[in-house]
Amino acid sequence: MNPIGSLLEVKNVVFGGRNITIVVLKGVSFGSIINSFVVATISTLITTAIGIAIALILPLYDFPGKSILRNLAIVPLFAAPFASGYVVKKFFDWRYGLLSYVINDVIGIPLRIGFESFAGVILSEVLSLYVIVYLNVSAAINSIDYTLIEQALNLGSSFRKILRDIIIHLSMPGIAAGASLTFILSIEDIANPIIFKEDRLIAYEIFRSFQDPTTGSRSPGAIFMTILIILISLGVFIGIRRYVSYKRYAAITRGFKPLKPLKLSRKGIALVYLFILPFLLFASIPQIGVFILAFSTRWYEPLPEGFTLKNFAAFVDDKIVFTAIRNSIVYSLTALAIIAFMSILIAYSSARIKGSLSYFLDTLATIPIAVPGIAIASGFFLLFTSPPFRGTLFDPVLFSPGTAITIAYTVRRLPFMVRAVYAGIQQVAVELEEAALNLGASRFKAFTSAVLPLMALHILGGTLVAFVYCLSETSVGVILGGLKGVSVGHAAPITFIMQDYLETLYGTQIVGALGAILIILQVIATVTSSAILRGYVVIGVR
Amino acid sequence: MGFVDILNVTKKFGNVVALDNVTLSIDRGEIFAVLGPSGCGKTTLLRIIAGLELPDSGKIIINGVDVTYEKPQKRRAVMVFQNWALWPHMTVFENIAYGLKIRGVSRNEIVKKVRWVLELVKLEGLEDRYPHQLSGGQQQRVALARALVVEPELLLLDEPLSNLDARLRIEMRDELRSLIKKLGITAIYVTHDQEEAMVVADRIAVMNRGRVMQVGTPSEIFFKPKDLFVATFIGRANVIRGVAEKIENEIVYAKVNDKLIVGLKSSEDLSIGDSIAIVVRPQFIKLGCRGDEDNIFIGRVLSSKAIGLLTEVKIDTPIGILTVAVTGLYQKDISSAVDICFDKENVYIFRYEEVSF
Repeated sequence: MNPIGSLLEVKNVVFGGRNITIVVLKGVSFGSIINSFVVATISTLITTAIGIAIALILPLYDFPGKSILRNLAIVPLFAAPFASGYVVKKFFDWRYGLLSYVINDVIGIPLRIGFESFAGVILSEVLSLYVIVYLNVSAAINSIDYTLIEQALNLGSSFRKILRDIIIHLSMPGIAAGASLTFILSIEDIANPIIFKEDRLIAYEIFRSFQDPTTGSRSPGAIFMTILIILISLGVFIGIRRYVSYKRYAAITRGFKPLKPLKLSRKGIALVYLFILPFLLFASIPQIGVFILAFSTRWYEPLPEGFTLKNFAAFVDDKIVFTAIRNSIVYSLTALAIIAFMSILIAYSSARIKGSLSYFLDTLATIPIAVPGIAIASGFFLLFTSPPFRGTLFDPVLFSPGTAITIAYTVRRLPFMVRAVYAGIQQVAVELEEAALNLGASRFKAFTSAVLPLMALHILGGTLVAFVYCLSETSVGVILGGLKGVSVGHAAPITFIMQDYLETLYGTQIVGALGAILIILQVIATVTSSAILRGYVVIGVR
Repeated sequence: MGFVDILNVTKKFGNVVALDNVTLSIDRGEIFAVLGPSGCGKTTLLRIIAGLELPDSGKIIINGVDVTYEKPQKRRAVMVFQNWALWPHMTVFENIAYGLKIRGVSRNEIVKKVRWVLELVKLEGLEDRYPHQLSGGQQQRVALARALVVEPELLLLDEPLSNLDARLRIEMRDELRSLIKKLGITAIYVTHDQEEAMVVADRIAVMNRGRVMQVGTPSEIFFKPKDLFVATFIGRANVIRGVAEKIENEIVYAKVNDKLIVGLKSSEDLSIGDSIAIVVRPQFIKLGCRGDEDNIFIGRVLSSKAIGLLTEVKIDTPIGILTVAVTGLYQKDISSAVDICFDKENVYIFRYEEVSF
C-alpha cells in the first residue's frame, strides 16, 4: 500500500517578498478507512496521555492558582461547532495564521509553521477532546476512598508508589472510558474534516454522499461506510465496557473519605506553570477565538479587524439565521419532552424492577452512545425515505427534515438523560418508596409523592444539559438539515447554517456569534445543573 | 393458630438461601423479636411479611387471612425501616399524615390524629420541622409515629434503634416497649442486638443462616438454649471441648484433659464417646469455693479487666482458659492461685458442631 502525500513538508519559499522556511505538518493518506483509524488512534493516544497527566495533577495536589487551572481545564468542554475548529485553523495556518504571524512578522524569525490535512484534524481533536479523558480520569480518582491511600502511607509506601500501585490501577475504568469515548467521537467527527477540507476520511465520505441526497446517500459505498463506522464504534464501546466491568473494583470499605490533596513541591509547581498552564491556555484558544470572531467585522488576515455587534443582530435580521434558531429551539424542546418522559420510565424501571425487560430497555437506550451521529442521521434518512415512511411527515426530503432531526436528537441524547435520571433515582433510598407503599400508596402515587420530588432536580439538571447539547448537535444537523434546501422558511437547524455560512465573507463572523451564544448556553446549563445537583442534599437517607 | 402465622416460608436469592422453611406463630398483642447475626434472613422475613418481597414458597397469614401474594398497600402491616425512611422533602406533619391521606381521612381528622400521635411520642411542637432539623432520636420517633398513626394491625420494626447512639438506644427501647404495650399492637421486632431483644420482646426467635434455631421467652432463650449456636450467640460463654464419659438421665459427665465436668444434657441425641461442647457463662463461675460445689478446679489468674460494674477475669485452669465475670473490682494478683467452681445446672453440654455467626 503506497501512502499518498507527505507527513511533513519543509521548504524554502518566498512569502511577502521574503525568503522563509515553512514547516507544515500534514499526514499521509492510505485511503479513507485506514486514514480514519489512524487519525482516531493518534488523537486518542495523545488526548489520553494529556488527559491523564492533567488528571493526576489537579485532583491530587494543592498549589497556588489551582482553581484557575481547574476551570481552564474544562474550557474545551464548551464547544462551538465549526467556529472552534475554524479558530484552530486560523491560528495554525502557515500563510494567515496568528502563530506564524507572531514568529515571522512580529519576532522576525524566517519561519512559518502550519498544520494542515490530517495533522490539522488531529490537532483540533486533541484540543477539544482531552477534556473528556481528564474528566473521566479525575472522576475515577475522586471516587477513590482516601483511607486506601492512608493505609498505604501508614504501611510505609511513598506517594510515587501509591500513584503507581493504587491510584493508576483504580483509575483504569476512567482511563478506559475516556479513551474509548475519545476514539468514537474522533472517528465520527465531521466538523474538523470539513474545516480542514480533508475528505479522505470515512465521516467526510458519508457527509459528501448527502450532497446529492437523491442518489449519493443510497450508494452502496455510503451505506458500507455507515455500517463500518457503526461496527467500529460498537466494537470499541462493547470491548471497553467489558474491560471496565472486569476492572470495576467493589468498594469494601465502610463510609467514604474524600481525597486530601497533597501540597505540591516547588519543583512540581514550576512544572505545572511551565507545561500544564501553557497547554491549558493553548487549548482554550478555540473558545477565546470564537468570541473574538463573534465581535470582529472581519478575520481573514492573521489579526481580527474592527469591533461590531452586527454579527449578533443577524440572528434577527438574517431571515435564514432567524429561522434556523427557531427550528433548533423547536426541535430541541420537542426532543427534550420525549427524552424526559422516556428517560424517567426507563431509568425507573431499570432501577426498581429487576428483570430482563428492564435490562433490555436500559441497553437499548444506552446503545446510541456508541452509535455515531452521522450513522444515526444516515440510518433515519434511509428509513424515512423508504416505504412505508416515504412521503409521510417523517420523510426528510419530500416532507421536512424536522421530524427526522427531532427523533435523531431524541435518540442521541436519551442515553445521557437516562444516566442522569438513573443517578437521581439511585440517590433516593428505595425505603422511601417502600415506606409509601407500606402505608397504602399505589406504585404511581408512591413514585410521584416520594420519589419524583426528590429526583426533580436531577431531571432538571439533565434536561438543561440535554437541551443545550441538542442545540449544538452537529452531525445530525449537517447531514439532514439541508435536505429540503435552504431558503426562506427552511427547516435546517443552527448547526447546518453554521456549516453553510462558514468561510463566506460575512457568514464566518455570524458563525462565530452563533458559536459564542452556544458556548454561553453550555456554560450556563453546566454551571446551573452542577450547582443545583450539588446543592441539594437528601437528608436521612444513604 | 396465632395472629400472624408464618408457614414454611423459603426464600432464595440466586444460590443463597435467605430463609429455609421458616415457621413461626405470633400471638395477638405480643411483641415478638427476631434475633440473629447479620445475614441470617431476619430482614428478609420482615420484608416478606410486609409484602415488599415475595417468598419462593410458604404462606403468610395475618389475622386468619392468607396475605402471601397480597400487595404491600393492601396489608395492614406497617413497617418502621432501619434508616427510618423519612421523606426529606416533607415536614414532620406531612410525613406522619401521609398514610392517613392515602386512606382518604378528612383534614380535621388528620390534624387530630397527628396531634394525638405526636403527643404519644413526645414530639409536640415539632410538626413543621423537616427531618434534617431533628435529632436522631426525634427522627426515630417520627418514623414510629408515622407507622402508629394509621393504627396498624401489625407493626413491623426493622432494627429501629440501630442508628442511635448507645445511651439513646437504651432509653428508647424501654419507651418503645411501653408504647406498643399501651396501644396493644402486635409487633414483630427485628434486631441483631440480644440485649435489645431481651428487653423489648415477650418472645424471641433466634435465627441463623435462614433457619429458626429456637423460639422462647427471653429467659428460656438465655437459661435453656437448645443448641450450641443459641448458647453462644446469646450472652457470653466459655466453650470447652471434651468427650461424653457417662450419661445419667439428663446429666452428662464430660472428660476434659483427664478432668471431669458435670453438666446438663442439652442435645437430645447425645451418646457416650461423642465429641461435645461444654458451655459455661462467665457470670455463673464462682471464684473461691466452699468445697461442696460441682466442678471445682484450681486455676491461676492471667489477667483482670474492669468493665463498668463487672470485672472480667481470665483464669488458666486444667480444663482451659476461662473467662469469669465478677461483680465489682477484683484485686487478686496476676499468677496467684484461685479456686473456681460452677453448678451443674449452669453447664450446658451439646454435641460438638462448628458454629459460625
